[in-house]
Amino acid sequence: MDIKLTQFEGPLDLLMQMIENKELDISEVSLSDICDQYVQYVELHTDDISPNELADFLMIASRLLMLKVRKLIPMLQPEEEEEETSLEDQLKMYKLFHDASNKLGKNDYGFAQSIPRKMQRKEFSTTFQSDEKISLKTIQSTYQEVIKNLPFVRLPEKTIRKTLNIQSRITELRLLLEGMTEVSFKGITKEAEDNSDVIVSFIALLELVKLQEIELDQPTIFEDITISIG
Amino acid sequence: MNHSSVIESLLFVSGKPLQYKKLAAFLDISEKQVKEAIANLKAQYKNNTHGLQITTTEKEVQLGSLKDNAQQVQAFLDLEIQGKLTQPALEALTVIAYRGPVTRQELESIRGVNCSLILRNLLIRGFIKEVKDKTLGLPVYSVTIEFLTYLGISKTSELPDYTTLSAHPDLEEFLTRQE
Repeated sequence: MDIKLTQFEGPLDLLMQMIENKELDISEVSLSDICDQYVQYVELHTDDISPNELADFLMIASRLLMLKVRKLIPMLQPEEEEEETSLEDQLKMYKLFHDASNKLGKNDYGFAQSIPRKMQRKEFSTTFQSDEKISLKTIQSTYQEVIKNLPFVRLPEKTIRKTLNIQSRITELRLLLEGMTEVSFKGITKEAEDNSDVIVSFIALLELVKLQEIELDQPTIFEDITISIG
Repeated sequence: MNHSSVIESLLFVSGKPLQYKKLAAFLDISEKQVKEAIANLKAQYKNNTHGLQITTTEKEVQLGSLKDNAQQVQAFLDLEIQGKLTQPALEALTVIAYRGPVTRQELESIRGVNCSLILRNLLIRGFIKEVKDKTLGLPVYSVTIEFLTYLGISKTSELPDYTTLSAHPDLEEFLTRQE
């Protein structure tokens, strides 16, 4: 009889199925009878059994062999009473739980049978575990991609207003200075609406100085500034 | 004061498992009184025709929908149907449910196979929890309310053949000899 690998779920399960298929009770005799079949099965399926379970299969196989040897050579008994649990007892014990799990499985419908008032949210892990695929390079390229795909970048509106103001203030100052050789800073900021307006004028002046269009003169600190064409 | 009634209200509004310890501290009564009140409540729910049921573990209690109505509740909430448990997972859960809190060693000697992967998967699914046993110095595992409500069992002692399996004389002997 062929037992497919998918039908059993462990070394004891395999053993149990082999005995059940032969319609035998679990006993030392039935176990030693099943020995050859079991060993042959494990030999044939070594590659199919996951490596961390293989040792457990081999362990059962070796215990079966031991049982068989003792049956064939009854004289060969252990010198002292063995402390170890017999395979027979272990298998009987396993069967108890295996049968119970089958009963329990009848209640498994794939979804919770009793649901609390509000669905519990899965707790979020507080630790960050980065994926292997994430490297500085991928973060960089992803971020660049994100920026590239942004519909537009909204600049702070205030900055835009000031930039425009400085540009236009420069033009205004040029026009103003065309007709005269000298003008005072207080004079040009006389009609300023607020401090930021004064600041815009000042920045515009600095810009013109940089362009070497005008010269500034302030004898002492906080005194009025004289602007003259350079 | 009727403790059962107050606890019922608290269970309703919290919508999640509540610890006996917390209920006792909050109501300023003993844990024994909390358990009695809950047993009382449980009996009431069992004998009536309402659509709710109470699930308990050693430490927690939760109010949820009645398992008889699970189909309709699932459809109403449009809950995703998860894959059913695999045979090894079910087997491991059975051992943990009947024998819990149980060490990995005991689980493995009953199942006769390495169980570390299964334990990890069950922990992720929230069906078992791991606590370090101070006297043993080892982690021990027990089933959660989430597992019990998944199968619609109101407490572990309601599992089929619980008394026979949880303290089977052969099992005790078997496990002592394993050590």
